[in-house]
Amino acid sequence: MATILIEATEIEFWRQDRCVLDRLSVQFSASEAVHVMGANGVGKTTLMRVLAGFLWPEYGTLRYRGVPYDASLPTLRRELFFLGHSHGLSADLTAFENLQHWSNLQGGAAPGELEQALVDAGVAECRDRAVRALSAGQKRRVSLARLCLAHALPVWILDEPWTNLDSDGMAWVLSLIDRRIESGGTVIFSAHAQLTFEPRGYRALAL
Amino acid sequence: MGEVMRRECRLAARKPSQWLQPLVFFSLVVTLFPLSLSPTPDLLKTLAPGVLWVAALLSSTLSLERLFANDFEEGVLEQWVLSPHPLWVLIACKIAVHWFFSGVTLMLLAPLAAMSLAIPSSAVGVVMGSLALGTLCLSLLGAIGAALTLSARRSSSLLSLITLPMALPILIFGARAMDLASQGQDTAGALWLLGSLCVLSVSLALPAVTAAVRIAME
Repeated sequence: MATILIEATEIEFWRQDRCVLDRLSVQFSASEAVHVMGANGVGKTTLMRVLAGFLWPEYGTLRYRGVPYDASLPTLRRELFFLGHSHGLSADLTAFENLQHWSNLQGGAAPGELEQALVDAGVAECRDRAVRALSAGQKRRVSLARLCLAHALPVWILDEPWTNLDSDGMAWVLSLIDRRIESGGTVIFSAHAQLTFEPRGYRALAL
Repeated sequence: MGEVMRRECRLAARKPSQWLQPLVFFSLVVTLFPLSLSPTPDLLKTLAPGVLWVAALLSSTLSLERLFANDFEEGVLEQWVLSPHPLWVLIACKIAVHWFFSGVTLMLLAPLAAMSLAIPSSAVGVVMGSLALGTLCLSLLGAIGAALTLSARRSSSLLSLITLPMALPILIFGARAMDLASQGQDTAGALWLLGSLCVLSVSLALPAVTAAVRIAME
């Protein structure tokens, strides 16, 4: 039995008078890639933000490695890679500066690692261009280049990581997820479309 | 945190209009006053503290509008919340850099403004000192407003409604210090009060801004 990393028990979340998550119980274990699926507005993003600790559910408990979120949130934050709808990139800084800022906040990267991440992401030529001037797909790639630097973080929560990517890009992200799963991490991702490919340890979670 | 400071300075260098615009506004206001009033030195000297402080207050409100808005919309604040560093430290660095580009530059501009408003040169030191302390308070208090209005988009009027009442004591004591200085009297009392307002703003603003940023993530 694989270790359970995140465990949600009977969580309930309301937006105004609409119940978005209704008594949802779900576990996320190591070496598991969980595909959160469902139509628009069904609560995929809400669930991911709840799991990342941005939102607190009205009822129910969340545990990280068996410890309730109240006590384990700082640990989770250190071990979590979260990618939301926004890219987390400043439009006025270059791709490299954005990556550098993120990695310095995480504790720094080895020399050359940032360049390599940009090369892997296929955006090496955008290194010194302001993010403002990049295409939507290139921005996505720059923000996903952080995944290469985050390979040691055990939990990845990715909200629609494949948006705006071409097929090459999709295959690249898939290979990163595979690598993370193989080395015992857990990846939670959303995609409203059916996938034409399946990462290792695939499990679908329909909302 | 050097990293946040470096990033903020880099951003300020990329977009000088963001911090130059409030400065231009400040210099315009203080130069328009002597032009539109009768230019008798006595009258100007009486009005000068009020004019300088109101101009500084409004120009700081201008500069605060986008303090967190860009980082919020671009998802950078989200990454800050998730980073292993305490959020309040990152925010404190951001406010410090903001104060440097809005407050310190305004302070450097102050001697010129004082000259155009016929403030005696003996009082220029107090003018600069009180503006430095005052703008620090304004940056901190304004940051509360900027963080609180994050989720209410296009809310500059709301921002000034939140910030200006809190800024009244700073306006009163700052103008008082300048007034006393231009009459050649002792200003220590007013400056100490400004200083203690600064300390109060630091202890009030940082927890409040941090909490407001977290709430905006929801």
